[in-house]
Amino acid sequence: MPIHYHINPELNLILFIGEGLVTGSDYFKTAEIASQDKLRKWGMVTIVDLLSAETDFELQDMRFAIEFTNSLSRKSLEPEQVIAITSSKAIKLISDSLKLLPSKVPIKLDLVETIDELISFLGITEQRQDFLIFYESCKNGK
Amino acid sequence: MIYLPQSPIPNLHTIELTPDHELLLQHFFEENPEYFLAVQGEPASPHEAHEEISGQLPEGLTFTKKWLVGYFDEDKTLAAIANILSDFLTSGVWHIGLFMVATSLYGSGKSQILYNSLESWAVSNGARWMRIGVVKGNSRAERFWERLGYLQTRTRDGYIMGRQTNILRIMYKPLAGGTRDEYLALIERDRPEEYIKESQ
Repeated sequence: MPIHYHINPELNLILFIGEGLVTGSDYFKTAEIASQDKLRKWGMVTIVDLLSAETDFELQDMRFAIEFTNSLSRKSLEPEQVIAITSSKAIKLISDSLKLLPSKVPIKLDLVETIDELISFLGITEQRQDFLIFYESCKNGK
Repeated sequence: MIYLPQSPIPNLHTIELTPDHELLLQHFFEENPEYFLAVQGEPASPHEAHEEISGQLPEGLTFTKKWLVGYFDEDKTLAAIANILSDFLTSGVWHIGLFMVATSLYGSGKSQILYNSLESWAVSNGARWMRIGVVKGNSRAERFWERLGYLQTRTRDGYIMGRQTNILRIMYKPLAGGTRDEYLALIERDRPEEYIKESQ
């Protein structure tokens, strides 16, 4: 799978790292596997690192994302925060489109372009070192 | 683990303000002088942003984290900021040091939308009370906080800000029920004189 995940309970986040060609289907399959992980807790912040990935997301992936978010609403669950790290214009377009398409609850998807931006976005300047150690170890596949 | 609150307004996004954002924040203060004119009698000082980001509280005033939230628009211009101290003096009391929205957004209802989302974020992270000091005579701010349900507990006289010596209205808001006496039992420094006399 061109995308793998790591969970950090202390930082309350799940990090997906994509490498090579990543499709929407790859992401959703991995997210489904991660959802069964015993460390996975609802409410974790999801970070999707696409810095080393080429992405191929289609209209049906967007429909799936909206349907998934709507299904959370039916279960009275708050959608989780998802942050993608990417400078891809295509992903930016998808993100904008997702926010424009009708859904019962707003999709919490944000984009940042760098790790520094991510740290500012999350407000974890004080935990910067802890986060970077975690991030680097995941990147290196440890 | 508490993360920065997200913006409830789609074309704004939040960033934690750090010393790297000093220039942007100073520019925001200078472009939006109304608050400073009201509470200081003069525009923001050249060191205002530095103080906001790096200034220390007097010794003895404890808190778990100073949250400096910047709301940026799509042009990467600051549209609002919030400075919030979590667990100020005691667990569950969150103090608003500064909440400032660009003048261009006055009357748009966005101040209230931003505040409401900050309050929800604080509640979901353990806040049971909010607290703020509002300068008496800054009527726009007084009306805003009163409308949001803030109640005065005491005043502090002789509070010097820039050229002005102000009377500060210390206000609180219960977020999970609770009476004024319960609040004052937690925060001794907010007890008014008559309350202290009554309890003696």
